Amino acid sequence: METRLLTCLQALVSLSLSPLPGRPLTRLCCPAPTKCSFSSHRRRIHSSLSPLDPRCSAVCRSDVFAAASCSTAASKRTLWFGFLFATGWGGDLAHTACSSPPSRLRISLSHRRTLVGSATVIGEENGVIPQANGSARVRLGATDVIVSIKAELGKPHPLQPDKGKVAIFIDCSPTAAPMFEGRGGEELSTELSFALQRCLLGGRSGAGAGIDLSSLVIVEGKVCWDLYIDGLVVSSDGNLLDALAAAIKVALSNTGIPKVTVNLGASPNDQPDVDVSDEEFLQFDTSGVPVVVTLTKVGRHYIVDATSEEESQMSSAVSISVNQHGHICGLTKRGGAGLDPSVILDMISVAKHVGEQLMSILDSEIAAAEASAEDQ
Amino acid sequence: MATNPSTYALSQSSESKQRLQQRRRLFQETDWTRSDGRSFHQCRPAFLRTGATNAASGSAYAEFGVTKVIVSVFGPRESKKAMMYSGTGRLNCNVSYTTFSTPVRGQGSDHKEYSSMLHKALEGAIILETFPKTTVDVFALVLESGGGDLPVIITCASLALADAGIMMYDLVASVSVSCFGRNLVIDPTSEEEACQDGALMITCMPARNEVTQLTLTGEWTTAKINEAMELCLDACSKLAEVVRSCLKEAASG
Amino acid sequence: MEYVDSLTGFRLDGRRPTDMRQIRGEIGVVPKADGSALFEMGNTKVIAAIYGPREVQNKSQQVNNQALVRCEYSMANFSTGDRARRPKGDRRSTEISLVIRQTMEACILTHLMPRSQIDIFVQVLQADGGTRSACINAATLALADAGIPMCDIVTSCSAGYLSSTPLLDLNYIEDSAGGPDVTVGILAKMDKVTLLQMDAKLPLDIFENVMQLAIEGCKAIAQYIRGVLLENTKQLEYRKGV
Repeated sequence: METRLLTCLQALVSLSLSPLPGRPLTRLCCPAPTKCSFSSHRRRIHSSLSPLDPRCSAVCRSDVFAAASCSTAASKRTLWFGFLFATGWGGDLAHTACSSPPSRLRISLSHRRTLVGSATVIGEENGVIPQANGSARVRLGATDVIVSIKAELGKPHPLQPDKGKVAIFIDCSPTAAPMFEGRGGEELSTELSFALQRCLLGGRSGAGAGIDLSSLVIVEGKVCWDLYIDGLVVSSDGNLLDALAAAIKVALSNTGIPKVTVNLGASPNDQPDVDVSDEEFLQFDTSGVPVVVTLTKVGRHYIVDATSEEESQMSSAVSISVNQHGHICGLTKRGGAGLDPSVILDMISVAKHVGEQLMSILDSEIAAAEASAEDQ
Repeated sequence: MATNPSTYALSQSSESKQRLQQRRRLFQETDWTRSDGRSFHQCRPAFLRTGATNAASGSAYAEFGVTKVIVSVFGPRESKKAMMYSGTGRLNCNVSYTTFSTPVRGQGSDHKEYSSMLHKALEGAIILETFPKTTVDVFALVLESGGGDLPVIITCASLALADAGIMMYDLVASVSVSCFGRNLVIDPTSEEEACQDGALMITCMPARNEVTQLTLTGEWTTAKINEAMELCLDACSKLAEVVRSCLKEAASG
Repeated sequence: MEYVDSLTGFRLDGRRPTDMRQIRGEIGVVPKADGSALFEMGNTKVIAAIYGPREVQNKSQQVNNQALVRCEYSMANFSTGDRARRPKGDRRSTEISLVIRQTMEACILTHLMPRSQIDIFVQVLQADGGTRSACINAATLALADAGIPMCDIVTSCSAGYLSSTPLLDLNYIEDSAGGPDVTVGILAKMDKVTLLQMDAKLPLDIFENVMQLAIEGCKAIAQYIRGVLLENTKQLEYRKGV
């Protein structure tokens, strides 16, 4: 499989380098060195790709369709590929690519992927197992993650008495890959946990946090909700961080925090009595929870939603979390290879576009899941 | 045990809380002076020396304001027997805090992720192909934590690696920026870090103009990121000059 | 506590003493694995994934005349009611891993795959009693999905004895009541017992009844599993266009 991938990638790379022999894509897309942008219709562009040399048809065979918009007039040509989440996206993104500054040749490939965000409640049975407050399972292609959220009463941190606490723990199950056996998954688990904390919980003062920590306080300095977010990677085919972040967003939307009534003790030093209601639940506002978009750099291109095959060939990856205002809420870089600062800025602008789309898809998935839950 | 310590502890904590809130308000204003009298875009003076420890193949000491760090580099030495054969060298990084490094004793253990972040920041700069089958150990010890610890550790580690004669593409320099409302404050102290709205840390190889590590927390607009990155990259290249001159000094002296 | 209502004879969750919880099996839940399955017994939900037969990873463990079977059992943090960060490789999971490995080894034709390794990974998503049995059942389905030669299918079920009544397939409350809990694993067609565990004392004649009940449960599960496998094979056939 990996050799096949390599040939694919080599084919793609050779496409982007116009001095190489064979028919360069730039010439295929726009015969004259003038500005040109494709209408973002996937099928048409797919057919325009097919008459390429055999190396490229290997690319076409592997269910990858291309949409292109380009400008060869630019002196500096950057090329990027986007493997998108849903088939319906290819056109949309290419459209955004068209509307963005046409200073570079851009190709976006859409991979046949589906995004399924279903909200399932884990652990019920009449309070035998005190149930998780919310949970979700997200599948991205062959990647499958489950996130469960549990709220427990706790004490706020003495330095931040007006804030609740949120902890994110990720576990990689050995079912996902044999290398996660024993302690093998620990390194990746902690890396994912920290990356998610950085991307979702915002800065030290709480700015940009997806979860409003001050809403978790019950009595300032005394009682607050501790939110435990547990993620489990059941099946892994790359892009775990994006899938986990999406699952956390869906799970939070499905989370009900019990309503509490507080009886303050007589003296201010007493621990107040807290009465937890088991009927009334408060819902989270999840519109502010950011989504994470990971751009993986393979050769000279960067792709979104990389499969594990693609990740095996990556030089570095940048995970960017984007919220509903299009602001960046966190960023982490993986992989050793260095990146040019301008490339990072370009990645950020791409991640913003992709993030917006992902956000709207997730929101509609959440709404659909909620609607189906209500029907039952 | 007749005295009740809780009253004392409580009053102190509420006092510190008030102080913290005061600070936070202060930082939200557009114009305030930093506690050490620096301007917003001024880094702390960097003091760097090689050869802090004798047993190591290379070592360095860094002092940025109150932040004090020692990094020792061992190797390249034979990888552990249990490790699989590897055509490239391995890099093993560990960051530890002394128990007295933080105002509250033993708080330094909160920074478990620093070891892996140091590893990620350095691995892109080291030419691992030059020492196959062997391991280079980088041990960083934070003597005193005074804010911006990780950037100082990374910069100091690259100096120690150079001192040990490990082949690198370029020196690595790292600088962080804190964001307060509309202000960007470079090289924050720990009390500034405690109230920051967001932080951005860049690790780069200035001569190659490559970013090896970048982390960002808090909410940022693209324009702000642009500004912060420019500020950091400029500071990084200047810091790398300081590191380079330190190396030259060590070599000539 | 009354575990069986003295008037109606129903259990706490409304089952009769000889009723099993609803079972459900699904094949191919982990696309990257060589074989995988999900198995539910009531609220207990486990996933099993098989990797192999493949080259032995640790050469010192290689067996020259048969395959090496390994098993790892892990529980998700959220699988039980009290959220606990559980360390990997604690005593309980090591013991269950061993039990599952030995049970599955009994049915795998290991001599057909010398110098190779088969990994069985089971992950508990929800624990509500009988995880051991559910894991074995899931592993059987997953092994069959992986196409690993087996002499028969192993199924497992537990039974207990509470309120002077033998009860089939204990759930979490019944399990934690502290009464005897007999877990049986059988080779369904060959009618042989490969696993028998009990951690309490029980008079011999009652034990026989309880064990018989568990074996009945195993047979019912075997029937179901066979149905799932048959259905799966039919679908494969259909996809291949045979």
